[in-house]
Amino acid sequence: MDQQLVIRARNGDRDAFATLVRQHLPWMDGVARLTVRDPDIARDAVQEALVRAWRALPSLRDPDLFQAWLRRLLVHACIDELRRTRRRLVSEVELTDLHHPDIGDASLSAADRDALERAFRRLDPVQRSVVVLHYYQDLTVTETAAALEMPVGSVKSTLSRSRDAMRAALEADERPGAAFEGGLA
Amino acid sequence: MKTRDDADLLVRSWFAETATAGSPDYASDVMALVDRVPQQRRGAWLRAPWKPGPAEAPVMRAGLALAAVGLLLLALVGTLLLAGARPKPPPFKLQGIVPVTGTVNATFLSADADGIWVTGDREAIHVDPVTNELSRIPVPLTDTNFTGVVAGAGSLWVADYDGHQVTRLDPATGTVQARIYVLNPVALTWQEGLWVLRNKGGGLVRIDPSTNAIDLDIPSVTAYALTPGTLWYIESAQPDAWLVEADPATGAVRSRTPVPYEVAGSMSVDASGNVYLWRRGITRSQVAVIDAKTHVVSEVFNLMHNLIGGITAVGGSMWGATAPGEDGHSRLVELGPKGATGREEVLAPGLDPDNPIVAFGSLWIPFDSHAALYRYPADALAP
Repeated sequence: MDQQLVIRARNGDRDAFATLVRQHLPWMDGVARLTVRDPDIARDAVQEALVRAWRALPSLRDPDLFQAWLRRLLVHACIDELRRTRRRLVSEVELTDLHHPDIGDASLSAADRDALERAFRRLDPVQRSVVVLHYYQDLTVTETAAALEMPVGSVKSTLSRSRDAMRAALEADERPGAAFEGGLA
Repeated sequence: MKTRDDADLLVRSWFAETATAGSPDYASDVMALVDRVPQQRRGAWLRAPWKPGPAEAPVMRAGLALAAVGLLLLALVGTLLLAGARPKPPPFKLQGIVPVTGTVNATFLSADADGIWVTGDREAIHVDPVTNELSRIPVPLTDTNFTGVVAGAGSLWVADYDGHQVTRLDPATGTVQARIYVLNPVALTWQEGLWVLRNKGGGLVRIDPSTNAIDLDIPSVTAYALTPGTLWYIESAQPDAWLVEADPATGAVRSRTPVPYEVAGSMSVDASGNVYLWRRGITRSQVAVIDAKTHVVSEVFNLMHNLIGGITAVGGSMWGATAPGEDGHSRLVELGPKGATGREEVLAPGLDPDNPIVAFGSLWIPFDSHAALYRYPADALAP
């Protein structure tokens, strides 16, 4: 189904592209939210990736690679945005804190969520993307490397370092008297 | 002690719950943007170039020669008329690159009478605008987030974002003179006191240098601009927003103008006192202009640019600084009260023009990943 839609969209059919947008928006929004930790910035990153996809669609030769190609565009949009986040501080004030849904998971304590949030925010943009693609999108290391246009070895080492950092944060919070540390998105 | 599997499971659970905050409902917004963007054509179809036949060629040559003479005359007359009207601005060319060695955090700038202050890695760096000589003062920070440096009242004031404090330092010795609690301080400005914005939750405070205490605290402010004798700020509570004009000495409100929420993100003021409000997006930014005298709010106009560097008053004009486009170049886009004027200048490749300032006749743009300041002539951006 997707293949026919992609071919039609590649030929300039906006209705076909609109259908693809509706189909792919949920996972794209999820990946972007997890990576950038801000629903508005995530939405911007998704929009950017989709507009770029529409523009460059005629250059996509194999319609079966549409989702992988879209993922690559999205990850790069998120990384670009994250790199700018700190510098943007002077002009854009946050009135609300991060968007946390109230749904709870029995296996996660509030302290775990807090520790994970802080540890994740300390990861650099590429580390964040690797972690999200691997744990949320369930991509293999090879697929993650393709999405980020990185060597497989670099993805493996990045994933290992990021995982260690997050595990260390969880353990640190298990220590009595662990202090709150702030962090930037 | 958590095993790697325990940690993996927790990360997966955490992602699962935070990613599903609701189904995204902006597909129609995406398509509205797509409708404005043409698809790129692969291997664009081109017509074969037209060539005159043997009989047409002499006529064509004579016609072209006449047209060329006419154009030359027109250009000559035009140049003479314009030369009498106003001086031509110099070309917009990179004046120089000032290395700010030893830092990857050259992000926020300010100017004092002697030069440019730059945030560095746990140090404030002073750049001499004539010799490019650097001097450095160590800055005590809780973490690495150093979000502003400004000189005033003979001291240096630095924003320690994670330490939730503004620190006052002796610029000669680096000695700490005072620490003032401000939640996530950003956007430092010196004007008869130190003005600081709280990044989380909003709020503008002024610190009195004679007491090192906050003597004015205006809650709910999300952006501000100071001009001599006037404080402008934005108050917003979705879906409403107001532009407030106040007395900077007392904070007393002079006027309060409702403005569209979609532009109430950031602000700057032009040479005539008109206020530009904007909110940037990755694919487009929205701008409105408020007339200083009448307080009439213009129509909101869309710029199909990511105004990453905001809008800056340079040489009597207002310039929006865009993020790098697909060609790798950022641009400065001249703006007027009704939108982009069509005048644009191209910046060095890769330069993300965040936080530019105008000082010493130049536009200074920090390029933090290159540990350098890029300097462009401000007069080249004159109207």
